[in-house]
Amino acid sequence: MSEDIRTQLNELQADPTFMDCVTHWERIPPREGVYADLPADLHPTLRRALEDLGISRLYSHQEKACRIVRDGKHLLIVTPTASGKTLCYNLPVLQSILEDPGKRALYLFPTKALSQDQQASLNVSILTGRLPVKVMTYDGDTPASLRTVARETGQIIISNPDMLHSGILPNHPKWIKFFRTLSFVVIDEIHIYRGVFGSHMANVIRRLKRICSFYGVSPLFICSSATIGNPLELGTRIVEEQLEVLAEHGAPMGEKHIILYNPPLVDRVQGIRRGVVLESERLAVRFLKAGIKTIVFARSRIHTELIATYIRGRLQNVYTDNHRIRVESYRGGYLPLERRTIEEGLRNGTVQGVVATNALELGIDIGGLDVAILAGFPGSISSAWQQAGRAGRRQGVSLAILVASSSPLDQFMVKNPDYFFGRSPEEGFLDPENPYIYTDHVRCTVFELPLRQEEAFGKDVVPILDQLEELGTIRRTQRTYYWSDRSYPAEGVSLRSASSENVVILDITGGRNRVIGEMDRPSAKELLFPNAVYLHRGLQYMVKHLDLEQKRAEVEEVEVNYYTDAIVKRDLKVLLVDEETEGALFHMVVGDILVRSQVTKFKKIRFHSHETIGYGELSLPEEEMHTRSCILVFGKGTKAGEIFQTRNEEEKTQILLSLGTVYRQIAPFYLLCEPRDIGVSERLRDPHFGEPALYFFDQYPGGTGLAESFKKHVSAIHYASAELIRSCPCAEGCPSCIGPRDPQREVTRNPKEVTLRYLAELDGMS
Amino acid sequence: MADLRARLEALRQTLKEREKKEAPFFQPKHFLEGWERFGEYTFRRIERIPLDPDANLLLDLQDGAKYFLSCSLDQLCWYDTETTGLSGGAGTVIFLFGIAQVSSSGIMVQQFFLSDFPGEAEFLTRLLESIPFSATTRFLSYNGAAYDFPLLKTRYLLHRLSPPSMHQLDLLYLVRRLWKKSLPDCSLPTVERFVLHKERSIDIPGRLIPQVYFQYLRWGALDEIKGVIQHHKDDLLSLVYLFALLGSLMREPMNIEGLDSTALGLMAATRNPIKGWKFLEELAKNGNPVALERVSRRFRTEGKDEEGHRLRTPYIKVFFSVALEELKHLEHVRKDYEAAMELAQFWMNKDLPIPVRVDLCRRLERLRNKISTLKLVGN
Repeated sequence: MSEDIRTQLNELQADPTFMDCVTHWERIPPREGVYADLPADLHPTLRRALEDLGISRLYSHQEKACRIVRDGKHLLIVTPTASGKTLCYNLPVLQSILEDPGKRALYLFPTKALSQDQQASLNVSILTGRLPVKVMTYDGDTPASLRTVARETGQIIISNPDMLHSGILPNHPKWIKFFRTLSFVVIDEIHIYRGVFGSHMANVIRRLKRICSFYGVSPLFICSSATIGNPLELGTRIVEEQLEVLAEHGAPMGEKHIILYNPPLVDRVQGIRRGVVLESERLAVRFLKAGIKTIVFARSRIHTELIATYIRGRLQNVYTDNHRIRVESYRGGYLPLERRTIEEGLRNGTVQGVVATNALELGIDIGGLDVAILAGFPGSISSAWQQAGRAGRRQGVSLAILVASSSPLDQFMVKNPDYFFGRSPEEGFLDPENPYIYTDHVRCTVFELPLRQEEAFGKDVVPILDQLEELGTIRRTQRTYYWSDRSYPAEGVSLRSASSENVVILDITGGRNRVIGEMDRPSAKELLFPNAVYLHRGLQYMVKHLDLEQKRAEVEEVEVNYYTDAIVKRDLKVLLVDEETEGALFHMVVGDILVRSQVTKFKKIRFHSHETIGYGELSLPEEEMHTRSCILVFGKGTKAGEIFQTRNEEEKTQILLSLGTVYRQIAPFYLLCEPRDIGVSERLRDPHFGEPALYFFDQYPGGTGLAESFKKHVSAIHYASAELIRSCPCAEGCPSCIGPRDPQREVTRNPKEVTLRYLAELDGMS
Repeated sequence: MADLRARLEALRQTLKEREKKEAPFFQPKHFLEGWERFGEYTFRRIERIPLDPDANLLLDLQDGAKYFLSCSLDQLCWYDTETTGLSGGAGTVIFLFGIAQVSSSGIMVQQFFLSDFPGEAEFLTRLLESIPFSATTRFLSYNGAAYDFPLLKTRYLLHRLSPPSMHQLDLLYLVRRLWKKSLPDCSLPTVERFVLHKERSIDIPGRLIPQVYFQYLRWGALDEIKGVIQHHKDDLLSLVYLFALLGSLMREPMNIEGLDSTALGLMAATRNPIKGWKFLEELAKNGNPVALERVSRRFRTEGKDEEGHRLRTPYIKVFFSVALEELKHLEHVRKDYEAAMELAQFWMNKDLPIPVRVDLCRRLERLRNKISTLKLVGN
């Protein structure tokens, strides 16, 4: 296998068309393993179980982890994929339980799929070693009959934050046996808990600790993180304990190559590069044909299905053996059993290639792969490293290729390898004191246990409690806050997104009636509208009927030469203005808005050529979201507004559009979020302000502070955006700056020039 | 949703002044008329309701105790709770607990009221002292097995008190068996209306009760809390009358409109066998297939074959389950193989499930063999 890759690497290096697109080629040399003996005081049963599995020595960091935990310190393990971190927490936990079977442990994994995988691997060690430790999964899928058993007898409970939040903590008296003896809390993949999810998680852990102290225990936290810029800071903010960091690891690593690849320009004027879908497909086919196990990471569900379909199409030559190569697609929304089958196929080698969304980025065990192709920059550097880490074994050579799309972020990454390979990837950021999230968890924690006034919960809980008291949901008396509302607060709080409603996808071809997947409601409107082409594991389905009330979509298998893309119409309404500020450039408004979006049309796009071959009309109900927005008003008396007034209608439209596009791409660097967390809307004549306006709004209902943060950073965002447009090599605007020139709009002037002239004048005045 | 951050900021400003002012702590000297202080936060009311001299209440309840719990009337204790929420979880508090006990001198209702959250531990302790939580007491509730009792237990655990143990009979289960088919739901108000034929002139809907309590806590609003207390007492009394009805039905099972008489017969057969089986027999005679099956099987085990035969005869071509019982009788007891053959043949022509037909075939084969053997012997 290694030889096959070496051959491929040599061929790539000798291929000038390929090398022309390579902006950087990094070789990471192999490293030897550093080992340590099994700890002398290791429980004999555990020692036997390990030896049965063929483990007679540990990697140095595994042994160290044992020691730290045995010393009673909280631990944070920061190691790359496939370095044996599971054993780092399993060893000390199992050892403690074997010594004292009364002890219990809680394992938290960010996804449900992961907890199943974890149980599988733990079960193996239990079966082979006959360790008398009872491991139980407790999540949404656990049947009621097993729940009581899990509560009463599970020594290791495997769950996820959502279940802890809505099922376990609010019912803690039922878990009294468990909590009284809880000794360890393992939080795996702690780097996932960033942003909104992380802010929730930190509060869930606060609640957990309150319950633990009520039952008189203070469990040790063992966390693991992938490589991010600030693992210790992130970990500390989540568990709020002093963590001992273990960042060096002793696992052997094979040689690794990482290539940054910028697809060739096909249109220099419009700045259009070859698409990331087609380039990734070509590269994947090249490796698969050579018998190399390959994973492709796509950025969206549609891309996942498209790339998988194209690859299969290319391998379908009946005259060669290539059609035997099995390539699967893998993404959220598949049924759990389907996912398990694909994971199993990857482990046992019956599946040679997989195209996946970031759903496979997490620690699901799929065995070693040789090549990882990142079809587009996954949004963050740590995520890119996680995905690249999917290729690689303890021995032998592996390769990861980042194929850049034309988005500004991607272009920046491939053109700045120093940034990419620099030692610090992004920092995970969270704000447990986000007023919305914090308030939600204060409600939950008071429900779980009355809060004494002198008791702490987070930074500054008293004002929140007073607010809740005013609303009548809690009652303060005798220096204690009591829950005084009939509701069950955890029910209304989702840790991940606002909508937990899913639409079920039913295949009704030829009278079949089979569930093939599910999708969240807002996405369903954009992907499962009537007559949409829905791609699922490489098969094409046409949506026959979408019933949002019954939450079901009926689809029928078809064979067509196009896919569909929804066109979303958006309408905004200002509900409440909280503050207005005169900035250096704009008049800035922060407040509440109502965003109504509706899918009114869809495009039919031909496979391979990606040209639009037709449109269809739709009438779907609107989706409403109440959120926070920062609005830039180009009013009279502001610099931006005065210059704006001197432009003609066509230029005005273009300027707003250009600025909106670039700001949205640049803002994530300052706000520590992703472009998709921000919504943008341009209004030439805004009905509320009576002036031109640019709306930036939080895509998380209720807002998470992005609007306020946007306002704070607006000048920095503006100047960085202006710089990006000026330095872009395109002539008329391209996807990497203000967006490509749209031929349908018949703009007569060069849009980039219009924008630059406006910016120049704005600069001159300031 | 105004800017929460700003509002919190404002609150923080005024916090220092408010700090000294302890929030409205409501500890009334008196509660409602008829209530006595029973601790710092706990109030109690004991009410004795004389018995209607014409009614059979005492007798019915004694029979209920006898047939359902094999105990005497003085061991019975009905209980019910009112809570601050309906979905359970650690934040749901019991603020009103009541029991009813009945003796020849009347019905005694005791209600215990928690006047504010800090008194919960005391309230729970008072309950331990006043409620006859003993091994001989039999508690009766409505959905208490799934709701009230687990919640009560949770409250004790939260205050690090050991929860009482309760032997209880959940009347909801009995009601479900007897009335599920005819009632829109088995909630207590529905049962009151359609089974006990009781109408409450004014009543507060159960789902509004938590709100009333919170308003009482906040503003000391007493008027509406009266309604809750009345509601709670009415619920307890309904439970007593419901159990009386069940007791009378065990003593003398009878057809009542809306009542599932088959279920009643089966229930009575285990509780009061003599009357219960007689009732089932009546049902069987009138062609109730379940009753026919059960009664004829019972006749067989008691050796009353002829009685069973008489009972079945009108229905052997109507219900297959009856025919099967008759086939066994004809073949093994009467040894009337010809009659058995004829009956089996009749059912072979009906549209029965395959496994049943296979069994029937075997039976026919066996019968044929027996007939030919008989003929041989006869010759």
